[in-house]
Amino acid sequence: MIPAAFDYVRAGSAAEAISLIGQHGDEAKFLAGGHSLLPLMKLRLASPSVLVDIGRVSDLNYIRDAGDHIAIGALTRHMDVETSAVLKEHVPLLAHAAGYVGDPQVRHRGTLGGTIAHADPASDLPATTLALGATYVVQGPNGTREIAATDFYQGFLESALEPDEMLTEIRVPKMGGAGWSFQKFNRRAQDWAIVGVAAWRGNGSSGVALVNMGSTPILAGSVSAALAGGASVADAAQLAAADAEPQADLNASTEYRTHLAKVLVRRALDEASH
Amino acid sequence: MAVDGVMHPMQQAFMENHGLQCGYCTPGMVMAATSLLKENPHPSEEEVRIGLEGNLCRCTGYHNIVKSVLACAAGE
Repeated sequence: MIPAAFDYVRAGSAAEAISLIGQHGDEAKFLAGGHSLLPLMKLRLASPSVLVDIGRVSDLNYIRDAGDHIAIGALTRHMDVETSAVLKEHVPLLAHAAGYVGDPQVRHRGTLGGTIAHADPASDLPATTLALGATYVVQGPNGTREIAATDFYQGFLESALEPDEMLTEIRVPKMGGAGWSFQKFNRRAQDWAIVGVAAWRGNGSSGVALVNMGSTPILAGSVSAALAGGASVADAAQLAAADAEPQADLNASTEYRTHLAKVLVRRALDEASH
Repeated sequence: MAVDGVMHPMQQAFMENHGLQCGYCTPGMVMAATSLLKENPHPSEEEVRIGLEGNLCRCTGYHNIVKSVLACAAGE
């Protein structure tokens, strides 16, 4: 539980952070809230030689109404997402799901951008923003680019971010009154989900994404396609795992995860359809 | 949290309501409880329990910890 030795530098701005990460090469990592990276370092599953601390880049901590979407700074903490009046009004699914991350201490430290950049399939908010059709804005040495959430997650803890790029903003479309649900099945309140589901439904459209059902957060496109084709919630939920490749671990076998996904997607769609 | 040797109201409430036994978890409990009351000055018992989630008391003294926080919120 003691990390390997590393150097530490603190950045005052996004531009400085990108410059610092460029100087230190592939062995450097951004440190935001630290609630995903530091546990990995303590288990020696990650041993970056340099941490570039972006935790005090305060101009990336905001939640703004940007017309058709809400723009959230990457360093906005889970607690601020959970309690944001703007998000509760326009993207209530994200505010609600943020309240399921860890416990209050974790939510006061961990950041939305951090959990997305970490790209852990077992985390709640990568899947939630995927279900919502979010776009991520990233900044690199040559400027900014936008990456759709559907293109962002590429493998276990692997994202479309280049080593010298930093996630700066998360853009989440307003839900426009769509019904929604967040289902999280775990053994203890603070644990990662064994399986989780974020879902919304409205105006003839829907979005369903799965937590911990593969090496990335999974968009359950087959479920949405079935609903769009007129299938009942019960029938659509049978396709919950059609796009997933669940792994077995100490908590659940592949078969159990598949079963859970069907049950939880059905519950989520029932709740979102009200 | 104490100023000039005078206990913070949350510390006082813990003392008066037997909110600590061995004291190991107390700093975290007092900090979390104080933060909770800043966000929600008059929480229900359930809200206190949710707000203190993640702080473990190995003496299992949760009942009196919750009682302490509620007492502090009530200004007792």
